[in-house]
Amino acid sequence: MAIELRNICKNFGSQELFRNLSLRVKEGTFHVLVGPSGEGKSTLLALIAGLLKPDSGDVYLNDICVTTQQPQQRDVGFVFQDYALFPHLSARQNVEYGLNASGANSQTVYDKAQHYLGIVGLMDQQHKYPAMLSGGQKQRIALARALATEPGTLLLDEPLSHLDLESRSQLQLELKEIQKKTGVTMLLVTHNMSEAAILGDNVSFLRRGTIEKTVNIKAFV
Amino acid sequence: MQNLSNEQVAILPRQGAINLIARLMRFNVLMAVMAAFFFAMIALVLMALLGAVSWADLFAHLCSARGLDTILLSMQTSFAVVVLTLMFGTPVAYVLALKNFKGKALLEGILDLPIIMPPLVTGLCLLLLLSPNSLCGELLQQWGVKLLFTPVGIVLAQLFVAAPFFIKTVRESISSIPRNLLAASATLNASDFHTFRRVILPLCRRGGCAGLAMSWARALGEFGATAMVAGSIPGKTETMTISIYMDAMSGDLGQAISTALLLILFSFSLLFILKLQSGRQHGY
Repeated sequence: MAIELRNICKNFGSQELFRNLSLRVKEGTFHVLVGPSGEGKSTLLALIAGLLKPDSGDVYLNDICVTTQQPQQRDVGFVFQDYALFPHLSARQNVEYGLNASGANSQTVYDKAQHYLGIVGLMDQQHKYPAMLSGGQKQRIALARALATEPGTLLLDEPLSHLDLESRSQLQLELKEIQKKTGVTMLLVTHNMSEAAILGDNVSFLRRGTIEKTVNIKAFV
Repeated sequence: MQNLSNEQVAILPRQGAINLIARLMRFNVLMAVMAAFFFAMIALVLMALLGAVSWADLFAHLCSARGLDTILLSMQTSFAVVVLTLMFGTPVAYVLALKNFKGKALLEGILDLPIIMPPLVTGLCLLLLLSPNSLCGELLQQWGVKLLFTPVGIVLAQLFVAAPFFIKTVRESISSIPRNLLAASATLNASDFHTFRRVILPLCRRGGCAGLAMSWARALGEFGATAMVAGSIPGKTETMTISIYMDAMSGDLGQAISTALLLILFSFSLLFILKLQSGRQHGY
């Protein structure tokens, strides 16, 4: 399994967010987690990425327990809902950021950045700063930045929710295409059921702090 | 109720809009007058100094050994304070902005103390701490370290008073960086140091420059604590502010005015340069 959550419990103060939550995401699939707002979808991704720690339970990535590991030690990329692009770096520098942080040599950094900028179709916008880009372009850069470090798993936190209908439909197709092309395991959270149906190979439903069920979309259709 | 004609009814909304604009204009005029009054006060104070200055005195003071000594000492000590503030203040600001731990509120309260304490009281505390009768002073004496009535003592007094301004400004600056950017950096395999160097430092550059300018100006203008800790030994511990006080008290107003004008010029130049520097941002 690319991702496995075992009996995760998480409370914020007296509020119980997850109760013995378990989830399995198969390697190389596009898995979508659907749930209403406020159910803790983003928190669940933060737990997988290591940005938060569960009160109890374990997180496995590629069958290795990573519960106590820092985010830097986990083989995951993260695409944030609000893009989280570094405003003082150009689009290209944003994509190069993770590669530089990993200590890659300058040629590799350049080549990979160009490759992933090409994949998201923004080669011609690479010198622009985030403030100069549209919402859709920002999200593409955020996607290229997360993909550039070539993580085993990519976590996407409602990446299309800030976009207009046209950009959203376009990026949905591109996301699906990129997932097929790169073969990276993707776990996307959304509250939009139709988005889940379009994107997901498998869809899990999060409700009242636990995964209610997981369905295989192809089998379902 | 008074009957209105159709024409009168038609112009009612327009009249309402005109009234609103008139009220807004009155408000803006009031604001502008208040702001102008404030700037006029500052200008009057500066003009009082400029009007009293004798350019011959100023030139003579600049060329005198005592004048040069005080300027040099003030510059040296305040620069040392800036370097030390950067060295020790930056980690304090970083920890207070980003880490949660027990006793954090207490530390933040302690940080406010040098700001709210009168500088004379600060100086008295430092004097008591460093005097040979105290444990700390005794230890320093045994190690042959002399801080009281030395330039190092001046640096210590100025650092104590000025550093919190930098720390508080930078702390606020770091706190205002969206947490998602730091989280994004962590998920991109960046170590804490890499995040600090490539994300935090560039994004709080403006706050850092503002804090540095405030600390530097505060150190340059420090009087009370410095006088208590270092006294006023001409050529050794007489800073510009102390020399202004000594000259004014001894009736040499010309000398005091010259030094005061220079002090204002230095402080203003520093603030201006650092403001320019902080304004030089990247294209976002």
